[in-house]
Amino acid sequence: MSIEIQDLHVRYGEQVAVSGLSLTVPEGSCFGLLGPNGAGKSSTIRCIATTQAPTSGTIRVGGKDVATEGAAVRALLGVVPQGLAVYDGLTVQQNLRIFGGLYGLEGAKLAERVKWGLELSQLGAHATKKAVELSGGMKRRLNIAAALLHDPKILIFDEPTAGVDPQSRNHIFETVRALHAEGRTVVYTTHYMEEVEALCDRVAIVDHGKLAACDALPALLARAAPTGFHVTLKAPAPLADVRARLEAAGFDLAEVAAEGRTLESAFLELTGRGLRDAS
Amino acid sequence: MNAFFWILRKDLGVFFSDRKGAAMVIIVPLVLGAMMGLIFDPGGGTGKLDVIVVDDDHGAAVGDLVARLGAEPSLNVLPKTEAEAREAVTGGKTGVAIRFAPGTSPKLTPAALFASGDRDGLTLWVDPSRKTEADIVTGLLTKAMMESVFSAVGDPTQQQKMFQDLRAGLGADAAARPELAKFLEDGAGFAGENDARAKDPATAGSGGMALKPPLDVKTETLVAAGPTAGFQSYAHTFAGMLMQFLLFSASGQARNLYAERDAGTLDRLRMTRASKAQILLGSAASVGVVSLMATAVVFGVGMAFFGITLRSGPLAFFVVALGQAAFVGSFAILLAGLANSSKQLDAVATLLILALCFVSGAWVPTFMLPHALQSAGPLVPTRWLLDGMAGATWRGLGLGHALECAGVLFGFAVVFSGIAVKRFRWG
Ligand SMILES: Nc1ncnc2c1ncn2[C@@H]1O[C@H](COP(=O)(O)OP(=O)(O)OP(=O)(O)O)[C@@H](O)[C@H]1O
Ligand SMILES: [Mg+2]
Repeated sequence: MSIEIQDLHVRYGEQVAVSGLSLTVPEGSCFGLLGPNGAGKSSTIRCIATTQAPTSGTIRVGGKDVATEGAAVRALLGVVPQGLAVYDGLTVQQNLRIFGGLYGLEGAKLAERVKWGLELSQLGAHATKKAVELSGGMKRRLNIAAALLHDPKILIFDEPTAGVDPQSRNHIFETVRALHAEGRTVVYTTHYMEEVEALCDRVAIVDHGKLAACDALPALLARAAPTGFHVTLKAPAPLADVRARLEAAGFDLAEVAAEGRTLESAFLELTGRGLRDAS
Repeated sequence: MNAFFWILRKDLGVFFSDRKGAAMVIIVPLVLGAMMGLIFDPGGGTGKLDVIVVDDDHGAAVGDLVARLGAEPSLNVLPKTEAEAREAVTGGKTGVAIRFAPGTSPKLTPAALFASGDRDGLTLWVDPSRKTEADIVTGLLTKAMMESVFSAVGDPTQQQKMFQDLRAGLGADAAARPELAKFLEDGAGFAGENDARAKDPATAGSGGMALKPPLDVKTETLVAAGPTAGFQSYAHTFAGMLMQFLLFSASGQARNLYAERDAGTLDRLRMTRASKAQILLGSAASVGVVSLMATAVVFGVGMAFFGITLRSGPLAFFVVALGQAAFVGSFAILLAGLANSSKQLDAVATLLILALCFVSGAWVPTFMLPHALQSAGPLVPTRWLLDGMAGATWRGLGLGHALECAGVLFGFAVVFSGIAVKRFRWG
């Protein structure tokens, strides 16, 4: 199930949001869509999702034209919106049941998928809480689960990790990886480069509504001039030793740093790796 | 600048960010003012009060009386048969009917003006919810009768002069016809006495031989449910206020749809299998369900504590309540379709709700509306709704009437929903 975008234009009055974008998301890929704020990512996603009509251009999802076969396209897609679009007044479980029902699930199948959604979002313990009572990160996870109940073949995530703690982010990563590993096509939008590096095999960079680059991740990385080297030792050695021996070999060193010592690793060390709200 | 001014600037900025909505908020009071002016303008072709006349007498005197009523600028006389008149009054179509029984004409004589004791009557059939109209008709009818029976000899002074003139005219013949002379003298004396009595504050208005209309006007209220079934003013006010509340809650639901649009949940719904029609109709149905619950509670309490009875049976009431639910539900999405932002909604909803309530007769009697608006009744859903509610409760007009009203309300619901689905914008 691939997505083919051809010469997409989106305008809001005078404002040009997307301007002649063409790209293909290959079936089974985990596709990173990168771009600065206002680059036109969300606009593009809304066009793919059929909730917005392109000003011009064509989009095919799994071979189906979004303009003429909207319903078929929607059945293939699971779109996790950038905003938290859940019903605050309803409980977690009610939210999932309603979206599942709207996706055409019923009876035992619906119950099973709601259960799956609760597991996926690790919100089982909060099933009867109203969405308004959830923390931002928990709500993000509900926002994701609500889009996936109908087991779509193509998943589109629009900044799914905005405003979540590292624990929730890791959980979301694992979710995306697992869903991708099961053979689904994934489109992932974010401003966090390390997320794309960690998750995606193919990346497009858009700017001012135009495609700046689109390639496999390693090929894209190869385009950037290296700013340094990363040396991995087979057996750990004291940092001072490594530095001394490299200097002895005649290298002019700018920095030699131990790996894995980041603020995030310290944070996770101190607060634990499990989801804070999972119990 | 202190915080007060920053808040002021912020709120004005937000208000005018939706220019069309802001313009509507300013224009709507103008439209409402003009509308109310039109409704209550005493000069500009105010509404005529419909009154049915059943002439079973066919005499000349009644004919003259009916012609005088017809000439009244504030009355619209509708000649009907007795059966038609009863149906129109019990059905709430016309507030008042006057029936002239056979043999009325001969009683419309000057002699009847002086008759005391038991007097012949004339019947007004009245819709008990429209007593004001009956009072107006009674006044005008009495006036017409008086005018019809005697025009020139209206006051005792005139009568006295009339007798004196006649006596003077008798002249020399008086000696030859003493009885006649005596009669005319007595008459003049009697009229003079009456004149004095009428002018004396101590006895003014006290019986005696003062002139009275030739016939007493007796009102008889007509209710389909039977002669002992009276008007239930609570059934009337509960229905009106419930309707008003439901229309406002419908506009609340329209606002919810805009809130969902802003929150992104509406887009999310669109990603599911739900069609636009399903999303809007489902939303309308939720208003309908709330409407049914509110109706059950309001009338349940009304029946338990305020003496309201369902004189057409529970089924007829339920049918009308269903029609009401369909109407207010569709009204919610109609508003969402007609406006395009919460601010525009404020303006459009206020205008439509006030207009619908006014024209329905929930706030002012419909006879006070201009004729054009009165005859627009069948185009006004709220008129059908209140008619249906009255028919199902105190009027007791039966299941057929309930089905008719509910049918029309469903018709409106279909049209409103169609417009809503066509006009509603996702973004
Ligand atoms: N509803 C709208 N009306 C007018 N202009 C809009 C609308 N939505 C987006 N735009 C404009 O279109 C351009 C692209 O917006 P879009 O939301 O697609 O960008 P994005 O890449 O998703 O940005 P971000 O990373 O900030 O989410 C922006 O310049 C934005 O101002
Ligand atoms: Mg965006």
